[in-house]
Amino acid sequence: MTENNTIPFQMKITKTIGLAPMVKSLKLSFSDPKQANSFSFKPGQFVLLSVLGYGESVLTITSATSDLPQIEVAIRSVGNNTQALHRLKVGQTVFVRGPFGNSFDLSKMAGREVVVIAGGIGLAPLRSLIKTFEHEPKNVGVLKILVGAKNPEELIFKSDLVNWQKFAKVLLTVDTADKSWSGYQGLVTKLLKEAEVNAKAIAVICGPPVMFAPLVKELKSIGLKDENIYLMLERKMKCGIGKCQHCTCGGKYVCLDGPTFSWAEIKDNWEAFL
Amino acid sequence: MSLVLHQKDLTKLINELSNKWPVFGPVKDKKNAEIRFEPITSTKNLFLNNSSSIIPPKKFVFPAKEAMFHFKNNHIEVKQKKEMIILGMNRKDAEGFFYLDKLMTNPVCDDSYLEKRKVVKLIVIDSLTPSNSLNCDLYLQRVDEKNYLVYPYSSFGEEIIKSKLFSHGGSVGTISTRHFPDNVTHHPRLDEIVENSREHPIWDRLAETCFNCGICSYVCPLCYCFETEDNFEITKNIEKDCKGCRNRKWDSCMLPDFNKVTFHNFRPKAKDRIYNWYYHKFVRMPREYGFPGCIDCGRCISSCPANINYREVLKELIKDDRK
Repeated sequence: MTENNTIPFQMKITKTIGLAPMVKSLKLSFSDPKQANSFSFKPGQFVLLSVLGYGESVLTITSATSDLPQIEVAIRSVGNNTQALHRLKVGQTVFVRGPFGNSFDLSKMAGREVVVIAGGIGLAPLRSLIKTFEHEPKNVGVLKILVGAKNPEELIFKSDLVNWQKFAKVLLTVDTADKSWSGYQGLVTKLLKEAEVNAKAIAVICGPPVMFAPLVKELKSIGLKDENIYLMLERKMKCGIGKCQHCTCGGKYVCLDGPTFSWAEIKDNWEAFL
Repeated sequence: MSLVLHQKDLTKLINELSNKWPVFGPVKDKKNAEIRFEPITSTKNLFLNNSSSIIPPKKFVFPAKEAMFHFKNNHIEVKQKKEMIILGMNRKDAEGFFYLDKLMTNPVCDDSYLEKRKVVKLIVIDSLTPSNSLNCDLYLQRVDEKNYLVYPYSSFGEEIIKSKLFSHGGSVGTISTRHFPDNVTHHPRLDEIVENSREHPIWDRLAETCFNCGICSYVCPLCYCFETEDNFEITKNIEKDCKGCRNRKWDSCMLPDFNKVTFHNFRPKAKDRIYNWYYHKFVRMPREYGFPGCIDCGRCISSCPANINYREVLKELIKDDRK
């Protein structure tokens, strides 16, 4: 953070990786060594990334804290700023504010079964959590990773998914299979049975909101408690500091109180699932 | 002995101040009788009768559109803000500032707001006794036709009263009181009542009359939602020579696209946006900060093209609460 939380600081692109047809990952390093020393974040937090002149985009950090002083973000090219970010090359400058938002409750996860459930690009923020478990296995008991995508091409972080099988149970499914695909087909909800989720597990879900209702219903029928089911909400987060009002959701600010909420916290929220 | 400023010396004071700082005050437009905060150098056009300006003086700390920073080829420049004095707002508007300051600096401080707020100095003029909800520099209480009682509130205020125009003692009139109508926004159970009113037919009814124009937010002393927008200049080689600024500008949660992202609108229905406006002011804000998001100034009532009146809305919700 700069001295002024509304003014961004500089970072440089050190690597760009294509993840899917419209999705790119950027690896960033700090231009100012002082900034590099003072910057810290927790898995689940986001930054506001900008190409000056194009605006800012909310991007959750996809790397682990052990990867500092570099951070990674995954960007789907959908608007002016994200398209501008896609055009940038290694060595070019981006502007960053943050980190903002809450984080996953790691203390609660230590020694327990954690089920990470992602839909599409929803895997990006969860990657930070998974990589944290990879580096510090004591933070988790049993790790299960369930990922759904539209088709095999849209599946992001493929090499990670292969690597994660060394320490986690990784299950993948696609809506539409092609010739290359020999795995599961259908909604990510289907994988819950295969994953043999324990009733005492903690589930963390990130993906399109249409996933939420069927997944929560299924997880609750397995026996998971409301406070052990976590969902990451998406909203139009503009300021990151709870002022601009764009991300409010009933009594909550997604940028301050979230983006991660337990089902217990938001199941009665009048507009969490409008 | 109390510190006094004579009415006849107010012009001299404004003169003294405007030699050092730009001074703004409520001025009445002769043509259409509107009150606006504009630059002043004397009491000539100053209109001090406790009535409301159309746009509240929040515009000085939170302008309709202002650059947060400028940039040129990946270099960011934050321009130094200049000091200015706002003189003559009434106590109610001054309280609006007090609450706005709390909103913008808690629980996280908005540093752009704070930078701006630091340079805006407030001199309040009202016939009422100063309240506990003030964050001003100087308070002038008009006690009779000829005299103001003077209360400094900051080191800046202390500095101003060093002028010879201020004197100790003198004749001091009786303190007047102004009667405020019953303030429905202070109903003890209002947060609960508004929260539970989601199924009340009033929201559908309001959605049919509301123009979604957002004027109620623009004229509200305690509405502060904003949008940011990058501007850049068109140059010969835009990739190499890029300059521009990032503006912060007023937004309104009543506008249809307020919650829209590229592929989704998180609050597409007018009914939900209107409920959210009331929910923020009368549920979320009281619970978060301990006060409602309304100083009951009535600006949104006078400006609403659909004649929506929050006092009537809240009264109806309160009336129907126990049904």
